[in-house]
Amino acid sequence: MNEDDRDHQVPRVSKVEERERLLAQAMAHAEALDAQFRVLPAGDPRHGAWKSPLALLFFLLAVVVAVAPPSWVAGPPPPSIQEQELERGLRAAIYLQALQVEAFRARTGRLPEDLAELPTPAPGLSLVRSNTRVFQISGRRPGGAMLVYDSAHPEPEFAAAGAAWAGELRP
Amino acid sequence: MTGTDPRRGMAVGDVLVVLSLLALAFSVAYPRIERARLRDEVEQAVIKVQEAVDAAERFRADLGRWPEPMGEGMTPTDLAPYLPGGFSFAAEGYRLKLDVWETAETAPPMEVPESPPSKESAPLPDLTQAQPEVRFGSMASVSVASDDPLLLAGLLDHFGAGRSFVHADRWTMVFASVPGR
Repeated sequence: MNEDDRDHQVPRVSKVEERERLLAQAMAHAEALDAQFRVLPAGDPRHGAWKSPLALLFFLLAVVVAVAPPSWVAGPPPPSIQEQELERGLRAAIYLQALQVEAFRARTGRLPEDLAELPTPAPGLSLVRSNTRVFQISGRRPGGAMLVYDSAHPEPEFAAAGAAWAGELRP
Repeated sequence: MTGTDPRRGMAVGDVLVVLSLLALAFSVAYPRIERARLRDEVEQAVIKVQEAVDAAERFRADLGRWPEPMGEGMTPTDLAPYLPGGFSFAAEGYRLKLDVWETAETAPPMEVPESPPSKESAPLPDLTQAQPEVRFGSMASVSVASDDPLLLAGLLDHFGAGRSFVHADRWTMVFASVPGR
């Protein structure tokens, strides 16, 4: 309602017939407007009908790119740890523990009860003592098979796994 | 009544197109965002590892011993003065740990010089001299424990497989090996 409407004196409608007539006019006007937008003129193409298929196409493309991104989207793969690298890590960890066991034995004159007795036990490894000198340390390979270090006959691969940092140290 | 309004249908179509375009743009950008996040995380971890190693080596150069190791993610208290301000062994997504490993080297037994037996004061042979001599050395390592294998792989890729390895949920690098004396 603007200023003109407020200033304009609207005559009061008091008669029932007048109110019904005005209501009928308003309803007719509303129905006319509704009909105008409900029925499209013949031959007039519906605007925006192409947008839904386009949106669906973009959406499907987004799903495809998200699920299986092409190489130009994914880029170079991030570095991952290969199975042989995990096995080398297991050998290195076992070798490091074997060095600790030897140091423990040299320091205390006995083998540790288990690896938890060492200052820094590696996770996932277990110790078995054959006698007062000989021990085995085992861990599970990535494939599930066991890898065993035998202090009586250590495989050279263990020392090779720790050669870079162990230097001349040998258990 | 207004649901069939063609002008309203166009508005919904516009919104759908914009949303699907946004989804497409995000799906294209997401791998790059993830790669950048991983690269940043690895770089931060590399910096932390190098700072911890530098601090430990300066500690040893000053005091002649390694700092006392603490638990995973806990900064060794005696190493703290050698670390940059605000440095923490516990970071978001990973935990550092400094370890000191004792090593025992067995030296070849000392050779007792053979001398002709003398009549006077022939001492009994000291059998302990014949035992191999044990020399205790030490190794120091730094490890990063994380549930994110990509972070561990990134550290292994950066520092190389020569001095470092990945076992279980941690990457470990032996950065010093001091032979026994």
